[in-house]
Amino acid sequence: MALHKSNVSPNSPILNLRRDELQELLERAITRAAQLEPQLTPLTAEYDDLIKACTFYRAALAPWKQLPNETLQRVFYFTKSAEPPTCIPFSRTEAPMQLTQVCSRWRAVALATPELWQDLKWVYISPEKYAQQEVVAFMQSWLSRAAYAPLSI
Amino acid sequence: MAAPATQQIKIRCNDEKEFTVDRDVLERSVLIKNMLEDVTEQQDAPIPLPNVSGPVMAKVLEYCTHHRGEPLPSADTEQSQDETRKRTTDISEWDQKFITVDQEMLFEIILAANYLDIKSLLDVGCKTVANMIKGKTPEEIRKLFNIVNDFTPEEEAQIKKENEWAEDR
Repeated sequence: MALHKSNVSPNSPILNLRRDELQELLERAITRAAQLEPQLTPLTAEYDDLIKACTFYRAALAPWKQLPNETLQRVFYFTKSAEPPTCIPFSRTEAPMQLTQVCSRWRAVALATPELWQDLKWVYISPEKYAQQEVVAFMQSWLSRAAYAPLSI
Repeated sequence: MAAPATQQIKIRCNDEKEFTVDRDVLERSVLIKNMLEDVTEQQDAPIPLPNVSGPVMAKVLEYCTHHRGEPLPSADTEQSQDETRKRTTDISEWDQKFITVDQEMLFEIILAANYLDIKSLLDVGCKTVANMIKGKTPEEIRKLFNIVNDFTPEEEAQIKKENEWAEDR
């Protein structure tokens, strides 16, 4: 029977162990754990460093990095949904805003791809909730990203 | 009358791996097609492809063999497809099965398709990556593709400001 998973009294005859024997086992376990602890601390630190290094090397080797910007743009075109994206409020799981929040390069490529910004769905915004000039400023920045691409609103 | 024998062309990859392939299969690649058209005499030396490795070329040839005989996209169809392509991420069943590879191979295929100028294969690869991106948060995308968040403080501030307009911030 697994003692740690049981509420049976340690004095129970079915366990076949006396209380003092159990006490001795506990003390031995505590002593051994105390002996191992100093060895464990540097190992844990090294383990943490190695995990960080793995993350760094994986990022350095990430296959997507080899793509030239034009190919990344092509990928981005295909992330567009059949429905035009909602401008306000926008979704962080939907292109194009989603793509601008991944990393510097993705942001630069997405902002330099007018086709991602050329169509949008207008949503009614309650004037009490948002200041009108802020709405206009956000809309302007979105539309300016469309550059000379024909707009569909 | 016997059908004319298909011309066989030899290619050599950057790892010295060589393939002998039917000309019509290889001509799915606009780059190789143009190279072959520029060569007037029969050439026995393999065509060097310094930007593609053997394992990746094997996958590319699998694709080209399956799609041999299909019309190549012309400049006109390219243009008309342009409008719809960004909205269409449908991939045929065979292509989907073909492109079910690990991430490294997926991006290698995209790079090879780009270099060899095989538009349809490039689109299959790009659509596959696009489908992996769709519906994910920026954090999930970073994790999926091992991307480091390297925004400058200015970019971070701009994103924070923009996120005031996000529904799921």
